[in-house]
Amino acid sequence: MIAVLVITGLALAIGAMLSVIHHHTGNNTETLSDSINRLLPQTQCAQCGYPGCRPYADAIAADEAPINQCPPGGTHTIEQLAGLLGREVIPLNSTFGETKPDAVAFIDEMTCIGCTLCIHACPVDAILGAGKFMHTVIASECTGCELCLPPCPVDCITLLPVTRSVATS
Amino acid sequence: MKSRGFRGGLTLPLDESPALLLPILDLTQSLPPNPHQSDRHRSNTDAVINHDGQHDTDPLKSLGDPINGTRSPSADRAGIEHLCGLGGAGFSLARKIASGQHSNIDTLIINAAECEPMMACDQALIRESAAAIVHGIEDLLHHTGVMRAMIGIESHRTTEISLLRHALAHRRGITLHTIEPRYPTGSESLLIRVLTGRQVPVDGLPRDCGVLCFNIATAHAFGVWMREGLSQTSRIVTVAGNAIDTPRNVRVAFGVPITQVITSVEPTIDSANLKQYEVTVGGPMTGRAMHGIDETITAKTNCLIIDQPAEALPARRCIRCGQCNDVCPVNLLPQQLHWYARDSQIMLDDLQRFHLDQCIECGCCDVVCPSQIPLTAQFRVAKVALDDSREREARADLAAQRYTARELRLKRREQEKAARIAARKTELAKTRKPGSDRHTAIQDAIKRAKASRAKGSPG
Ligand code: SF4
Ligand code: SF4
Ligand code: SF4
Ligand code: SF4
Ligand code: SF4
Repeated sequence: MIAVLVITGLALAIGAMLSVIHHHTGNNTETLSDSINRLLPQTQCAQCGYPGCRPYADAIAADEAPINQCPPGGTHTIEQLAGLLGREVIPLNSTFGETKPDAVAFIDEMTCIGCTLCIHACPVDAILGAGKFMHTVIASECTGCELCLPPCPVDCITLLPVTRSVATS
Repeated sequence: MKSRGFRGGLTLPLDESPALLLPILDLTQSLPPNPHQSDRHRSNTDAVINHDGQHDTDPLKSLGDPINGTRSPSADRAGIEHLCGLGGAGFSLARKIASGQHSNIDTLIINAAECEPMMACDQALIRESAAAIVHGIEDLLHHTGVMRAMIGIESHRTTEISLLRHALAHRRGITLHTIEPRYPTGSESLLIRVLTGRQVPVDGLPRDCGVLCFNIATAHAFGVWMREGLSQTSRIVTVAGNAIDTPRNVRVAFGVPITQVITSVEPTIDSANLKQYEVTVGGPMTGRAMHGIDETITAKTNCLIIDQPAEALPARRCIRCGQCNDVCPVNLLPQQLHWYARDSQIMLDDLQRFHLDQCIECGCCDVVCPSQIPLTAQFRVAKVALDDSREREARADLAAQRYTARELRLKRREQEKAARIAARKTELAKTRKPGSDRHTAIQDAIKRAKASRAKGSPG
């Protein structure tokens, strides 16, 4: 009888400990929306119709949006999302845009009038500058989302391709 | 941009890239157009140098003379900043030395094991200047504060061994070791293992096991800079291959077009018929095809192989014979890697799992493969793809972080604004006490406004 009690007690104690450990390591705290967001390209370009990748991920998780609205991610992202969610791979819905090569923004510093409009548009704070002073893009942080292009009153921002050459043989 | 540089002077500032000293008196320089190409993938043209063939007579003039002590320590440092490894990888020497000063390095390995067939530029350097090489090694020891240097050289290079022995006589701290002449012992990690018995950790660098590795030509260039004040503006290049009548080692200034080197070594080749030959840049095992006719000699260009094009046997399918697995000097499974790096679908996760990073691109697996599969070339492409995907991942992480930070900031600002307005409202409410003249006046006005709106709305 005592043995049974002891063993039951032990089992309960270990169970409780395990559940505490499980809780604290936090591996389980990632939500579906987190997992979806990790597969999105994080360009934050809003072409999907949501104001960034995270809101789009939330919408997919809530079953409010299909998985084929992200042009920067293109087929690759759709495949990965389909894999995660157990859905069928569907082609990109081109009303949201076409997949383009990687690019970074470049401000022609001679033309910039320092209006700061582009700073407010940039979703990842990749533009540096101050009122009436020249602005510049931090190339390593720019996602190439193009959101800074329309607000610029003097059209001095261009997108340059990021070249990646694969040396063969 | 117009500027008149001098030999050994700086080219236009270009990122952090080392080894961009002017090889010759230059008249003008221009930069290639796109400033946003990332370093690793940059095209081969860094700057275009026009010159009139004159070498400056006094390359030291702006930096001072190390011999009479007029060169400042900062000039010393600047010079080291622009030295770069001549071994083939082209690492920045300054960074390597700096890493040695901060960790517990106890040995310098000087790599004279030129194990690829045909390559002989380091041997030529030893025959030309064994004494200066030893000086360079001493300077490296002095500069890094390390007590011991080991030179590794293949045992059949008897002339070079005796020259080095002679130059090393009565010197402490530097020892010469002969190794079995078997490809690819000259590769960094294998040489370290053979000489010190230490294993460079997976995903690590030689410094993680207490070693810094320098090519013998790098040691020489370092000594020449420290003692004579001459910066590194040229290197010895082996020109060989079955299209070359008399294979030779030639000293070539950085920036000279490769085609020009070839046509001057082999008179039967000219720029018109060069297209008929296969040009390999680097050794016969690890080299790659020339990028284009405008490719130039850099610190990394140790060898040029010019061959009559051989009839290439077409690659067949892998028959799973396992021979590639047996020869791989770093114990990888090329057969598996081949499967995961197929053109149609490069499987990055699996390549990582099978340690593609560890492949030293030695080419041994290609040589034994009975199906003539160009394994090494395939791995090279896959490595770039792997790197790209990691870079992309890192950028996406950064973008996500910055996006979240910005969202939080905007939200905080919104809240702060709302809080400010609310605080001001309560403050104002205090001054508008119910019952006071102002209060009744305002209440009346509100009532009137509501009444008139109610009257006007039904229509
Ligand atoms: S389109 Fe894609 S990259 Fe752009 S915000 Fe939407 S999910 Fe992000
Ligand atoms: S700089 Fe322009 S293109 Fe780059 S991330 Fe910001 S808004 Fe997008
Ligand atoms: S929007 Fe255009 S002009 Fe205004 S600060 Fe940005 S780059 Fe300069
Ligand atoms: S090239 Fe082939 S043999 Fe050499 S390290 Fe890579 S996988 Fe191994
Ligand atoms: S040597 Fe060639 S055929 Fe044999 S297992 Fe390796 S890749 Fe396949």
